[in-house]
Parts: sequence; structure tokens; C-alpha cells
Amino acid sequence: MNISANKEDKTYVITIEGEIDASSSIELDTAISEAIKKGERKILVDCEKLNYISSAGLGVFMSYLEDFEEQGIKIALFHMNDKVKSVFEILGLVDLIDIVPTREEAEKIVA
Amino acid sequence: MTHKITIPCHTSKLKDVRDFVSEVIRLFYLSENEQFLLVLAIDEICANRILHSNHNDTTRHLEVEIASQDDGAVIFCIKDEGDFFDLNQNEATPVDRLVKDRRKGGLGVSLIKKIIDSVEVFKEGHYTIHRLIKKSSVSSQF
Repeated sequence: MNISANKEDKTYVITIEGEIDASSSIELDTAISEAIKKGERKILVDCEKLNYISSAGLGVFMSYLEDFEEQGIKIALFHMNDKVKSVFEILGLVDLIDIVPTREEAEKIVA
Repeated sequence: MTHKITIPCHTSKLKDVRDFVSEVIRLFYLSENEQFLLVLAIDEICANRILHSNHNDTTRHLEVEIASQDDGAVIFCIKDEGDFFDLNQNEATPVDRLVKDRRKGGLGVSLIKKIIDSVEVFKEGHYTIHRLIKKSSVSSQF
């Protein structure tokens, strides 16, 4: 798995490539933790090249929801393929975090 | 006919398990998404066993065996020498509680129970065996 992060205008974009499992979820954890430490308030997560996610990856996102709420951080995931999205859907997590088809929609959510 | 893979107990080997399961269950009449979710369920069980019952100890091994029944059901047997733990005895923590507690773990068992029709956990000698059944309405190509 590969994760990169870039500040683009007023948004902070985390791009995930590959598979997030119990072995690699720590890298996602680090990327989100760093964004929070840097004081980022508008986070976009590009999932176009995310091929797989297990509960370890879901757990990372879920564990920061309270921080996002408390600190006024807006986050949106976009370009997620249907299989990966189905993992979020099984547990109803799509009701807790914004997952949208396009970057434009994601930008509107965090605006 | 059965298919089997054996890996050292380390999470870096989970990808090998996923690739193996993906390859084998292509032989079954399952939709792409059903296959994807079955791979996920097996990954979840193996990750739990490797981390919590075998403590990422590469001197231990975990075996995954896949077979089919005449009625088309797919049977997964996961065998290892780690500590016994019956996930059927573990009630899944509600998601809102996990979120409130900022917990990263706790979702795996919920996923397994949503995807798999039946999970049996038992001891056989010094091995812990997880036997998972996924029912199918059509026959496999085995």
C-alpha cells in the first residue's frame, strides 16, 4: 500500500493506493493523525486506487470521527470503487462518513 | 477436492491468504462482490487469529483449507495452534459505541457474522479450528 498527502489550495488530500489490511492500516492511521496535528480542517481522501479495505482500515476512519467532530474537521472520501464501498455499507458506516463519487462533490462537502 | 495454504503467523502474510482465497473461489458460482466479501471474511478471521491468538509469532503456522459440499456450500477451515477463542461467544460491540470510545478494533467480528452463514469454533488436539460455511443456491464446478 502507498499513501501520499498533499496540501492543495485549502484542502488536504490523502491519496491511498493498494490494499489496507491489518498489516498496513498503521500507515493510514499515521496519515490521518498527521493531518490532524497539522491543523488541517478540510480533508479529502482519494480512494480511486484503493483496491481493498478490511476492518483494520475501517477502524482507523471510525476512531477519528469523534476528533473530527470535536475539532470541526470535515472529511470526505471520493472515487471509491463499489467493492470497497460495500465493506463500509455492510456495517452502515456510510451513514457516519461521507463517501461520494467525485472530487467535486467531496470538495463541496468540506467547503 | 480441497485447496490449502499454510502461512507463518504474521500479518504481512495476509495478502498471500487473500490471493489464495480469491483464486480458489473463482471456481464457484458467486458474484464478484460475493467473492470479494468472502475474501474479506477469511482475511478478518486470519488477522484475528494471527494478532490476538498467535501474537504475530512466525514460528507458528496457520492453515486455510477450502472445499465445497454437494449442495454448493463453500466450507473454509482455518487451523492454528493459537489460544482458543470462540467469536460466537463475543457479542459485537455496536458501531456507535466503538466510535465514541475511539476504538480501532471491534469491527472484524461484525463483518464476519454479516458475511458468513455459520461459524463453528472448536479444539482438535492442540489446534483451534474455525469452520466457516457460506451457503450457495447453485452448484460449484468442483
